[in-house]
Amino acid sequence: MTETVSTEKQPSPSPSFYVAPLLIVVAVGALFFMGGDKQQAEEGDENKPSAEVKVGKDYYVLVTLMEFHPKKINGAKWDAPDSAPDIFYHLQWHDKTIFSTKNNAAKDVLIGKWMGLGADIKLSDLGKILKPGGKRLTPLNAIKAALISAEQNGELVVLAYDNDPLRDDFAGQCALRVTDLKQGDNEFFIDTNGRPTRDRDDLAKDRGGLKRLVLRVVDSALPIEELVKALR
Amino acid sequence: MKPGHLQVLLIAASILLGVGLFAPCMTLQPSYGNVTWLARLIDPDLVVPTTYSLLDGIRSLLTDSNVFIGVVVLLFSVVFPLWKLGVYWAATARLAHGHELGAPVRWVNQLGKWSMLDVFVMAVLVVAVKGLPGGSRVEIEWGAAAFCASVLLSIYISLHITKTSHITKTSAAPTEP
Repeated sequence: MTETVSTEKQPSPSPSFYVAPLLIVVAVGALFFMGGDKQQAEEGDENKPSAEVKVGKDYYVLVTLMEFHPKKINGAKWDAPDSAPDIFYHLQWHDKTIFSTKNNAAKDVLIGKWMGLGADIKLSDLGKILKPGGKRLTPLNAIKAALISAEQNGELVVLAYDNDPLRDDFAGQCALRVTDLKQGDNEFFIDTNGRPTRDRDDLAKDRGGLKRLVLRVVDSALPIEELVKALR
Repeated sequence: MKPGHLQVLLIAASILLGVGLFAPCMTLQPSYGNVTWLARLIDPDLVVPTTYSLLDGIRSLLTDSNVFIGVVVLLFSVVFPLWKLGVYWAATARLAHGHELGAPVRWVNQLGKWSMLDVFVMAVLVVAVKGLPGGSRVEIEWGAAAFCASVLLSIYISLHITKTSHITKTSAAPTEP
């Protein structure tokens, strides 16, 4: 490629010509930053746990935390001699038990916690899992929560127990209208009448039995990544 | 092509360069083969797709102890294209006033072959990550297309700016009797 070379002195162009592309690039970058901030703000709103449960949609529900009073409802001790209860719960929907943690009781505690995910793998099954074409583990069977549908006037009942070898001790229950729930964590306190309330000030101080619980509600239609995050 | 037309193309190339630098360039989709779901259970962030712009990539290189590669990519993906467009912009202004292109255009054209280095770096990166085990893959985003379009447009401008210069010189030269 040949270039024409002039020997006569020519005026040099204004420096602004050299800066013009830089200014355009910076302006484009500013537009991207402004757009990114807006998107982040929208994403933040989506993550707020205040979204109402919508009728017709399916939700995973589980109790992530349950606290008992130091004594039973009748004032008796939980377990002899001075052990804390082995807490577990059933979830009932349409008068049927649809989920239970009886096999996963929180032992000797006054506050029990559960996760919505877990893989129950027996040592005897491990060989089958590792074999090619053997037993399959899927994300769906790792979800440890009940699946319900939000219906008008639908009711979800949480029944709390102390796991005992002879006879489980009933610790209290919490009947909740599904449409009153919010997505995310719903904390309820048991008042003096044994009813659930969201107001901590109404908590019965010396009632005995179930004291409070946190019910997590997760939209089952979420992508698997978000579902896992929400259930963890 | 008139200098005015070249300036319009330069504005387009500058906008495309800005988009190419700031827009998503590639998305890394991590995968762990058959146990991807297990990785999700352990830490969902492990399998979250990550999108990078070209500037994000350069920043990562500079902050992750790959300063040499970071500086090379910065020079040939950001500084050189900006300087090249600036030189062409100034050259079109000179052409519009009947002057010649000047020495900077010759330097830019000499160094022009280096301008594709960034595309090469990107291609190598894509091939490298596509070869990862576990099914991890890279998806090229529209920012990469904008960046390539900017490079191609600047090559087109460099060809036409030289032609325009020749035409201007020929028409300005006195005809012999």
